[in-house]
Amino acid sequence: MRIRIDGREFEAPEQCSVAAAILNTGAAGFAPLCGMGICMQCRATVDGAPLMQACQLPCREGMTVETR
Amino acid sequence: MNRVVVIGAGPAGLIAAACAAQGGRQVTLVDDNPEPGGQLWRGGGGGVARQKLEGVNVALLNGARVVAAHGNTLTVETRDRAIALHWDQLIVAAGARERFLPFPGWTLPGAMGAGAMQAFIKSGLDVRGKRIVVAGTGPILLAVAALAKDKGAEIAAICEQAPAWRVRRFAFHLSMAKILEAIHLKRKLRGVPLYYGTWVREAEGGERVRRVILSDGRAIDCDYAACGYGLVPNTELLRLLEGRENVHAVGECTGIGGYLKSAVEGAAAGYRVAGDDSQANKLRPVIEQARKFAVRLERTFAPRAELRSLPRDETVVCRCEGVAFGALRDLPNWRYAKLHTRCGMGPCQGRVCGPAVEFLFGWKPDSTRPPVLPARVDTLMGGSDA
Amino acid sequence: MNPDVAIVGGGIVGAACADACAAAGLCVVVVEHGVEGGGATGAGMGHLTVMDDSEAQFALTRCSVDLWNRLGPELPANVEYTPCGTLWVAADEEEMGWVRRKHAWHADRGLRTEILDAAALTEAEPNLRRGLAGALRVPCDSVIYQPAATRFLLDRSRAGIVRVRATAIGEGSVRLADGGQLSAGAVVNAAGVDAPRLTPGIEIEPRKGHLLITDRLRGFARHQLVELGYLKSAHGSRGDSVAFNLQPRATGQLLIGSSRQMGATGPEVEPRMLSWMLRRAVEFMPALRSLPAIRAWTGFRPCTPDNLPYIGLAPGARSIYVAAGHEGLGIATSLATGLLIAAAIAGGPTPVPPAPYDPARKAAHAHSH
Repeated sequence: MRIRIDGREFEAPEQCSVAAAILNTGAAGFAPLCGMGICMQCRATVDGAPLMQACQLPCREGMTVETR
Repeated sequence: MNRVVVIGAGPAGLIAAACAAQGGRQVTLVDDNPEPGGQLWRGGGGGVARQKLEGVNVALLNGARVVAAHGNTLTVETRDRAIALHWDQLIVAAGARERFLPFPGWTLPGAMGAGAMQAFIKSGLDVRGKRIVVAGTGPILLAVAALAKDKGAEIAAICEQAPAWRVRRFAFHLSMAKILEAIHLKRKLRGVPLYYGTWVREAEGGERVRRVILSDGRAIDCDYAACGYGLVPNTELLRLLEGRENVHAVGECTGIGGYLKSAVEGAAAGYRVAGDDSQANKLRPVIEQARKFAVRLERTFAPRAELRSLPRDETVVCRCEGVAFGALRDLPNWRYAKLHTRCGMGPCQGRVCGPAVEFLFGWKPDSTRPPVLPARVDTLMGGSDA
Repeated sequence: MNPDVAIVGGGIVGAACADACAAAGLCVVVVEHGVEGGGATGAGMGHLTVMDDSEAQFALTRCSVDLWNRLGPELPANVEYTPCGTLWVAADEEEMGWVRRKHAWHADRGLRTEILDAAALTEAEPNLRRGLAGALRVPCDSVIYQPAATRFLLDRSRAGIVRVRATAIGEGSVRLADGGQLSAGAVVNAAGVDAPRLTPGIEIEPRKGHLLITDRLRGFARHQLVELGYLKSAHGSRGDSVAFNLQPRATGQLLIGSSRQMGATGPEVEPRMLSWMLRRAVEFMPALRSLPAIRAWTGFRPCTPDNLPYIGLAPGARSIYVAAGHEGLGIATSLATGLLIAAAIAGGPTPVPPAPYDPARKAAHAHSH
């Protein structure tokens, strides 16, 4: 699956969450804490929708993610 | 009508839903994760969880968060709509979350919970070639380290804050199955340094975590610091439902006891709402047993007093609102702190800093009001019935 | 040594009285068993707004808002003083008529306001729905984070805080729930909705309100926004009502109100009221619909029969003063209230003529009807 994170294209494995995908890119300043929908530290803009909980959202082909 | 709603599709909720449905009840299972399975069976597209529901008639509502409860109606929000869900019997299996205790550097990228590391690996985090320090407390540390190692990480150290003698005494009372499980994990972790009575004092590294300093002064280089201080029950919904009849709380949200406790409590509640009290009563001795285990677990892995002295004045305690330890430590109570510093007033609604300030200052949680989770304005305007 | 003044109630009105009395050279003690600013003060919106329901209300709010604006630059950062102004939004031509009348009324009294037509309103607040008639802009209005302002005033007054509930007030004394008694030259009852319990002869009824706050969303609104129909809601009937009132906070959050209920006594968030209030807000600002809300809560406004606060000597008393009953305007009018109380106790000029707020006015009020 290809997704765009902060303007760059990345390959994400099947059933990868958006938060895990962002962590895999080593995006600066991204510091999620809990990985299970509690802490709200992983929120990102996904396909234009702001403040989405990235750890609870599976990647989808062609997705666009902005981490700030 | 006898509509059963189960909140939470982890082990307790799944088993409760299955038992209630087998007993002929119409069951709706609501869960906020993208797939059923809770934290134990996270990942893999919810396959394990779906097996539990095979052949029973349970309507599964994924990615659905219960944001409010009023009378016998839950307000549920999904990604694109709001649903008013009516119940006659409600089973709450809201699970638990990790307890985080603030230390200098815990907000750096690369620092996260131990359970969080497990959840992220199950959700696609690539740890191949990464050096990881797993720290904090509880049996979860070995499980996380084993999983990460299995996925190609190098475990730089495991730091268990509980002293070795206490963990040994705990192990002495374990069931054979649990002892075998522990032996299996330890075999997988052969060669990995495991320090008891040791904790992470600080994480350093500027842009992201590069090393941690342990309580004994040792510095260990790492890419990730996975540090969690056990689990705390998710009680927000239960507090909102306080005093209401036909509400059954099961699993980790009633006390941290692991899979067995969740399974038997879930099953008993499922039988009970299906009207099969005799079957439910048969599980009583096992539930008692499981609850005793929960008490031992809590005692063994209770965070030690020294952890209260880790945060410095500038160490952030409430990450949502950016409130530092120094702004909180002289305040009289949480209500005061909330009003005057906004500690706990951000989008996580104190789920992270609440257990921390309870441990640090003894502040008890105060009132719970809807919405118990961030919710869209239109959800609170009233959803369509379902 | 006994203090000169004992103030019962550590809300913003009590804090402003403490501040003004201290500035007049008096030694002050505040009796507050809960959290300072933790009652109606903390539950409210933090608006510093000039209101014009009556000459007396106008005089008090205007004087006090001026005082706040002069204090603004001195306030610590955590008070989040934001001079954002208010837009009184007119839904239709009838309400535009009110806008023009208000504009003229304010101009007669030397207050500068501005009339915005539909296009100017859209430009000022693009997230308001199209089709609204216009607005009256009141540039001098501001917003603060009121718990921090309460703390600031208390700190500046150097008042000692007595953390016990007050059970009774007498001439020169406050009886405390722990059996103790506090003696003082004068006592000020600033206990908000609780004030009638301590001072018989004044009438204050709690009027419940709901509020909701969103997550941080910088730039969604620039002004405090109030529908002109608010006036109908605020004082029109004694039944339940809602009105659109939105406040951009310095944090980037939006505070969404408002609701009014007479006779409701429980503090619980009521889904019916919350839903009604939000539907009203969305009528004015459709884009609110998809915003994330993070918290809702309720509070009780201390409401008097004539909608004016009680400020001055208690009925029949020699050294007991009342500063209570500010309804939804306690934050805005606190500073002027403090000066009135300090002048009543220590002598000196009053910032506005005090007669309309006289706590003993009840009889006169009853006669007039």
